Amino acid sequence: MVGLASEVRRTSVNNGLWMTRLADLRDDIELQDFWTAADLTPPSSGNLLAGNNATDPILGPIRCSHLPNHDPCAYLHQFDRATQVDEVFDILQPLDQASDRSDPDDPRLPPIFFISGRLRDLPHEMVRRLRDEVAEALLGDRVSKTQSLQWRSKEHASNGVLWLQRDIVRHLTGSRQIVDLSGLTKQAQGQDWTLEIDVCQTDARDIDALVRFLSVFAGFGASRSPPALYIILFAGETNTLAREDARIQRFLQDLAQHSASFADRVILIRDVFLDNCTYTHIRPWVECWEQVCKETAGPYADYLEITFGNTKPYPLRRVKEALTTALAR
Amino acid sequence: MARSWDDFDAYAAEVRVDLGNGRIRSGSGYVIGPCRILTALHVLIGQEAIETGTKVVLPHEIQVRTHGDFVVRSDTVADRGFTRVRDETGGDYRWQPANQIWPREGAEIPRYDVAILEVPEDKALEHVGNAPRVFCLGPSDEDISCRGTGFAKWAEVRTQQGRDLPNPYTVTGFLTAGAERYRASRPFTVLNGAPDNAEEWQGLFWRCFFR
Repeated sequence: MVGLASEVRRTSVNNGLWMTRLADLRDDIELQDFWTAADLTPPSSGNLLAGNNATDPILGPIRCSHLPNHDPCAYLHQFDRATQVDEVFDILQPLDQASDRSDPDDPRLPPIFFISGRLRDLPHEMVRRLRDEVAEALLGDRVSKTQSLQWRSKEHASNGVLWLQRDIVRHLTGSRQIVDLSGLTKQAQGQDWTLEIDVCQTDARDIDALVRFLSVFAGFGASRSPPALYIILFAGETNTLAREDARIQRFLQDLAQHSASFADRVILIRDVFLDNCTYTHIRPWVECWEQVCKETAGPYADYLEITFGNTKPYPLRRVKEALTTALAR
Repeated sequence: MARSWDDFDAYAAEVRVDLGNGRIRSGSGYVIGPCRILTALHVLIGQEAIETGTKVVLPHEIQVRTHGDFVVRSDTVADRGFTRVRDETGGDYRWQPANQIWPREGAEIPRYDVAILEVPEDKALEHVGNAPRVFCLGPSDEDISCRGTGFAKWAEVRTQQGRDLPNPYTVTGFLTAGAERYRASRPFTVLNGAPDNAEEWQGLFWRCFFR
């Protein structure tokens, strides 16, 4: 489903109709109970059906009349990350300062978040959650979209930092000329960047390059809606939890030892570790599939009974041979 | 098994709101899952309430009817003879009671013109109680071509006695993704024809779009 017609405006014959797109309701925090009432899962960005590959428009790629939604990501994004959000909240607004009710117009230092986890733990979902649940409240207005920066391990020794600086300047000004970020404090207000780093591909030179880049980023200085940087750390395709991964821990320790050049000009949030999801988080999806299996097993059993009910015992070997032949065609 | 568009139209629903004193406001909806119907909020509380931004006041009585349930009961949509329709339906025009469950009574008017109805399980007919859940398309930066099903004013069908019969009408076209929004909605360009008189769009009821 794409959406619903909701508005009619008098323009010309073909253009009078306006439509509410359901995907627009996805991220509106005030509409979370809409999805509960609808008994639907909000569409994930992975739900986009592209080009002519569109399959069953109502049920997604798998055609089954009782399959509500096959996309596990639509459920996984409901991971319980409340603990991490609370920890970040406490760092950005410690309890002893919360009661001071500081002026929202007071300048604040740019925060740098280190989010450590496997890619399957959906770190970008954590970024979205921090933006929605913490940044808006404590860091002032944010622009609508994050911008991605690319870590260039191969070039860290020479101009990798300059590439990152150039990408930021280009994003803020449209210019290719590299300038000092301290002169762009106003343009950078409310901006958020993400930067993914695979620690398996890094060595001491990457630490050195990242320290230099963070010192440059700290040059934005304090502002009413400071820019934020979300650094996503992962270790290849490991199964080990980031919290228990020695490579990630070592990377963070090495960085901490060299952070003197920027630590007092930013707010560092280093301990956002993504844990395993539990069965509770994917239970709605599992229950959905259990129901699908139950409902589809019956008709198939009937079909098999009708097809083979009166046949004599048939060797499984011959079934396998028949399937192999069919696959080879 | 592949679905035909007729399968989709079967879950298109008419929504009827009793305003008292014999007055009725009607619109369209779509069954998005078992006992759940998505419709536009203005169908339920009126355009004026939407415009003025007052709090939500639930209507006195809401009824829904899916095209699929009506066709199951009466396969005589092409025949508008009231007697025959009455005989084949047994006088049961397949209306089912519904409750507005979002937004709730007293809530602020939401930014988006949407609402959710629930039909009590014991009152739900086949195409409401056993409807498949829809799959919502995610965000896109590109135009999306799609097809809408609803009950257009100009396509209304009545028996000789003036009784409305469900007659789903479809439009096809594309949703412009990147255009400026008007009250949180996006422009839709119709490609398969439209009423001769542009003002007849005003009679177009709510409709639901599928890709």
